[in-house]
Amino acid sequence: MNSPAAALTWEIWHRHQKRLLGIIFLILGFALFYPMLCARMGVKLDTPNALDELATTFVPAMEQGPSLSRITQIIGLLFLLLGPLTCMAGSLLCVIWIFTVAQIDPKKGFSFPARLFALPVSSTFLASWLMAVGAAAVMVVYLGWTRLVRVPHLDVFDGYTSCLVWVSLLVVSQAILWALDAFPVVRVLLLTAVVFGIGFLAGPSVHDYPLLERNQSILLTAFLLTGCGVAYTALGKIRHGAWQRWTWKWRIAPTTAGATQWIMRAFRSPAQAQLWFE
Amino acid sequence: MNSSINPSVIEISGLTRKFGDQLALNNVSLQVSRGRVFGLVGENGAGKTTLIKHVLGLLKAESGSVRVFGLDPVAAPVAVLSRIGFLSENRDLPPWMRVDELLRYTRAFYPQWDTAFAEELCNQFGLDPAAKIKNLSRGENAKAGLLIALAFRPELLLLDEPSSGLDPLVRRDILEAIIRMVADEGRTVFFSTHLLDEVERVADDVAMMFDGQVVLKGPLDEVKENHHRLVLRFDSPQAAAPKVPGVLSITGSRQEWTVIYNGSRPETVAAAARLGGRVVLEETPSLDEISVARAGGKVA
Repeated sequence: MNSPAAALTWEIWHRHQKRLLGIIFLILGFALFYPMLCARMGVKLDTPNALDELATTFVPAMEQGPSLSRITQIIGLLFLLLGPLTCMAGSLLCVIWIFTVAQIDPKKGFSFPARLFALPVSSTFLASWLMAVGAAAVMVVYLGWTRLVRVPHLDVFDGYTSCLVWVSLLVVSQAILWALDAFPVVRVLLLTAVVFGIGFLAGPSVHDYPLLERNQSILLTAFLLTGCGVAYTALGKIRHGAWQRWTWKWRIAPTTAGATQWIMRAFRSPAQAQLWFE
Repeated sequence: MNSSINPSVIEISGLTRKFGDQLALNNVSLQVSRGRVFGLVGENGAGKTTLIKHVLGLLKAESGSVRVFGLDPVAAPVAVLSRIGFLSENRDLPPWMRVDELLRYTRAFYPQWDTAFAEELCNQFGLDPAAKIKNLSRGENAKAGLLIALAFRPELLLLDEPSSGLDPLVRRDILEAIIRMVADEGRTVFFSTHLLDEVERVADDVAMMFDGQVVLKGPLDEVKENHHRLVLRFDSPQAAAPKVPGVLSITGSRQEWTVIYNGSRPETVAAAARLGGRVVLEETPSLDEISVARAGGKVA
């Protein structure tokens, strides 16, 4: 390690070694064993309508009465249908989480590690590095799934737009986590909304909205650029203690404290207090 | 110390900081000269850590200015932080790293890193390079933090409560490291503590903070010379503390009362005499006593 970039790359790798190796082995495992499982379950991956075949095998199996072999068959088919997609989404979300570099802070919960701000590296470098290496990692994992794993329904995620979706999600997640460092609840709500919003924009439902479908790439690029801008600004701000204690928070605090005091006064028994506490 | 000979490493002027309605720093002005050991003392919550965060650029000055090596640490963090070795109060080290990994990792950020010196310090502190940070004791953790703060021979060593909660042996190691640092010509140490005996042992200059304000600052010898402790004896027991004008504090009971003051001796003695008290003992107070007197008796 002879440069900050190398040190930060090593830090990410070393800290998340098990997770990253897990993702690599998951992709390789699916690449090797998924076709074998399909063959065992009678699904031919080479046929153009393999997904339909999978579904037609699945439905009659569901309609028959319960038996151990049938339950095993249904579980196997469900795994063939959903396993690769779930694992792909899970591994990409894991990579996104890794590159937000959120760590547990006793005072703030998950937040950007303050020790990095005491190192002689600029905020611009930190943000650029985390976005660039994070985007590269997302693309590598994404390409690993789409190029190595032969899954009949994975092709719906193939292509430039889907890759842009994941990179946008990475950058927007970084922006939200860094900008709302002092507001954990708002952060989780906004992050959930963004995941669903981008998921909707990238999913099959977008075909029902021609206007959105036509402008899908533009919208995703707008998300990406806005995310970049907010992430850069946020990291610079939280490094110097800004955006940590907004005034409205303090205006609400006395009201909340007053309400709490009123509830406390109203306790008529220890049991009531315990109930309130729990 | 003449400031023209020793130009300031840290210059803080009129610094004020509020957190909501709470005033954390109130018009703080300080100068730390090159080659000096500066001790910042004050009780918990006095504003020491907030002040240090401003020096590191981790907080932006709301009003007033902070200059480190003549630069604004918020505008030029890389230029400033590359010359500062910092040990934080909560020893913010990555728990999953080993000590040797921590050294290699930190070295990447400081081109002037001295590997031989780092190894020497590691041996001196008795740290096992293969030990994980999370398995280190509190004292070892502080030593590991100090090691990475010292190993690139920074121009300014900034220590926030370096020995708080540590046993005397670790405190001794840390103080020795500070002394060694200063022995290296031209290097400056700025440390905050609420342990006043540490300041008395190693500091050249001292500033006392109370409720976000600097209540006293100057060379340690001068501060001690300018404060006096008198033990007064009264002929009859005093029900309440005698009101001696111009003193910083008065404590005691019945016939014997101890006075700390920093004004004119004849005036204080005369004022005590008017109340019926005579001086039975006169001494230079410790920094601890001065601090308590300055804090208006609010410090335990």
